[in-house]
Amino acid sequence: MVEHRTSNIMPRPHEDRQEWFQRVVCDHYNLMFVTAFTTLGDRQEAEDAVQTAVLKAYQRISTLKEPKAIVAWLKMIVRNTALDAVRARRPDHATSDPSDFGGLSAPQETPVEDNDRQQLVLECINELPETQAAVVELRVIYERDINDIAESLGLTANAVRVRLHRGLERLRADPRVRRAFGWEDH
Amino acid sequence: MPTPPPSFPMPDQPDLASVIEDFLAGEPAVSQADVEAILANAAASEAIKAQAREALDWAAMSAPLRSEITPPPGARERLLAQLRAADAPTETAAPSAASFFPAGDLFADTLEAFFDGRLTRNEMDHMINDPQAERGFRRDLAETLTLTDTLRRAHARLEPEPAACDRLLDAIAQLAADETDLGSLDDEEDALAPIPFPTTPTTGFDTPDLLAAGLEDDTDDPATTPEHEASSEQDPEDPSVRPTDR
Repeated sequence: MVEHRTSNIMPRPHEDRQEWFQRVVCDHYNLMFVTAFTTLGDRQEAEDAVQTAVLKAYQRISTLKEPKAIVAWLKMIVRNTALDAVRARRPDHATSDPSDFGGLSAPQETPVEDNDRQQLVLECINELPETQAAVVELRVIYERDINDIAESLGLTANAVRVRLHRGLERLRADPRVRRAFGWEDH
Repeated sequence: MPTPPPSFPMPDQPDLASVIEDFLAGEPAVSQADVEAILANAAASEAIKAQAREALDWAAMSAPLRSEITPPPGARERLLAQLRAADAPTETAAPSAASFFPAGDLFADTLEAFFDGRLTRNEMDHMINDPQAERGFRRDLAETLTLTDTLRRAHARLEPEPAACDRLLDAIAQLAADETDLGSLDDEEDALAPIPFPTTPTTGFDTPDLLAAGLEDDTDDPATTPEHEASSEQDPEDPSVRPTDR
C-alpha cells in the first residue's frame, strides 16, 4: 500500500520544483490511481495512464497558477488521459458518454451484485467535479482526516465538508445508483 | 439513589419501573446496582424483572460504545434530543428529499461524527432503526451509509501496486534530467529553478494552457464549472455555501 503521508501541499523552503512535484505525486498516488482505474478497469492500464498524465503535468507545471490546486489539477489530467486511453482502444465508442465506458451505465432493471455496484459508484464519483470527487474518495475510501484533505486540496475544512456532503448527495440521487441499489425514487 | 441493601423494602411496582427508566435515561442518582437489586428481589413481579434484565443487557451492550464516543460538548445531546423528540414529524414532514439536511444540521452532524469515529456503525444502525426518528432522515442516513460501505469494500482493489509510485518517481526524475540536459544545451530554462508561481490569485485551473497541452477543456461541463468557480470565488465560510442551505 502506498503510504499516505500528511504533508504541506505547498512548496517548502529550498525545495525545488522536482522535489515538490515528486512529494505531491507520491502523497496522492492512490487518488490518481483510483481515478484512472475506475475509468479503465485495468490495473496496468491505470498505472500507465497515471504515469503518462503525471509526466505530461510535470512538463506543463509552469501553467499551474496556484500550487495549492495541484491535486485537483493532477486528478483532472489523469481522468482526461484515462478517457483518451479508453477512446483509443474503443474507437467505435469515441463519441459516447464517458459514463458508458464501465459497461454499467445501461439501465438496470434489477439490483446488481456488489462488485458491480462498487464499480458503478466509482464511475459516478468520476463524473463529479474534480475536488468533490477527490474529497469523497479521500474521505470515504481512504478515510483521510478532514484537515489533511483540506490541506491537500487547498480548501478550508468547512469547504471539504460541504463538498463531501454534496458529493454524497449527488451520488445518492443518481438514478443509476438508485436503480442498482433498488432504492425507490426520492 | 443509594444501593438498596438486601433487606431494603421494595417500593411499589410502578416505582420500580421508574427506577429502571431513570437508569436507562442515565440518571446519575440511579446505579446499575439499583437495577440488579430489583432483579434479585423476590417481591418484584416477573414483568418488572424482565424490564430490569433488559435494562442491564442494554447497559452491558452500550457501555463499550459509550466509552468510544467523545463528541464535542453538547453535540451528542442535541443530536439525540432531535432524534427522539416526541413530536418529531413523520409522514407529513417537509419534503426531506428536497433538502439535503432534513433536520437542520442533524444529518451533516451525524455523518461527520461517523466519519470522525465519534459515532460507531452500531450507533448509526440504531439511529436508522429508531422509530422515533424522522423517516426521511432515517432513509437518507441508510442510503448514504450503504454507499459508504460499498466504497469501503472497494478499497482493497483500489490499492495500486506498491512499487508503482516508485516507478513514477523514477520517471519524473528521468524527465527532469532530460529537461536539464536540454536546458543546458538550449539555455532556455533551468528545470530545477525555484517554482515561478504568480502572486496574483487565479482559479488554479489554466484552461488555455491545458488545451495547449492537449488536455480536455471541461469548462463547458455544467457539472464541473460551478465547482471550479466555487473553489476560487466563493467564500467557504459564507453561509450561502453551507450544506444546510441545500
